[in-house]
Amino acid sequence: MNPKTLAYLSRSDLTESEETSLLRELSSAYHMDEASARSREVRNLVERVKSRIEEVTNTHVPSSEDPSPRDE
Amino acid sequence: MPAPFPTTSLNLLSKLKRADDGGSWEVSWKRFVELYHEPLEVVARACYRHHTGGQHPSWSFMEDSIADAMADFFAKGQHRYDSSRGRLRTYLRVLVNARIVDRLRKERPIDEGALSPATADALPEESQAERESFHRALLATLIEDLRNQIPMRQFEIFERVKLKHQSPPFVAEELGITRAMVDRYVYKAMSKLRTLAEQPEYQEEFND
Repeated sequence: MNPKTLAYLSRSDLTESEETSLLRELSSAYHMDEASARSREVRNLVERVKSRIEEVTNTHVPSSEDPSPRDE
Repeated sequence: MPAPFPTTSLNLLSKLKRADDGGSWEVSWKRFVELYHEPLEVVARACYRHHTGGQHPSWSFMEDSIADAMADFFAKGQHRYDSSRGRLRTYLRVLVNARIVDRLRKERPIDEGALSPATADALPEESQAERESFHRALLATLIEDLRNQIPMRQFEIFERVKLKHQSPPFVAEELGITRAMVDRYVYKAMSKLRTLAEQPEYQEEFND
């Protein structure tokens, strides 16, 4: 992951290799997010967070099975 | 009365950083966990190793510590976060470290004595893996913001061409539009992405 990604994003005169690098990183982030949304481990973590928030606030939290913007 | 945890995530990072007006509550905690679990895991592992002389945590220990930190952040921590005093990622590191130390204290055998306050407060150096993981999460957040701020059709075409690497002629044929229209949609989406990336909330978090 190149820390210059955002600098690349703010420029419109990218070289071919900078453009390739930028798109590779965006694509990597996108696929990481896709994998997270399908991951059983992440779903379990979401359930634990939900249960902890309910413990801390004594408030019912909408189910993690509710659709998120990614699911719509 | 609005629900306490609605799933709206329009301009997610900005809302996380604008806790003064309660806007942060509008951010979906579930989406945040999906987007940021990876860097938080990297931080949690590093903190555990740092406080235990190089041991590796069990997954269950990690999961519990991260869940504690996330719940703390969403239930009350956001209101203690002051964006003028540092990056969100720095605040999250401190929060995860604190929850790791809490759990270590609970599970530490009595004959090993208590962790000293100095040890507990000391954070490990930020690693390259951590920086990279956080950058990836921020880029995913940026894409999420883009998805919420441009027409669905425009995002779909951008997604297919730039993120899924489908060729513009193929996308044009599949959608029954001209190649020029595909190019125009992609150009507009990229322009919006650049505008979003220029926001201080992103620049502060990205720049090392």
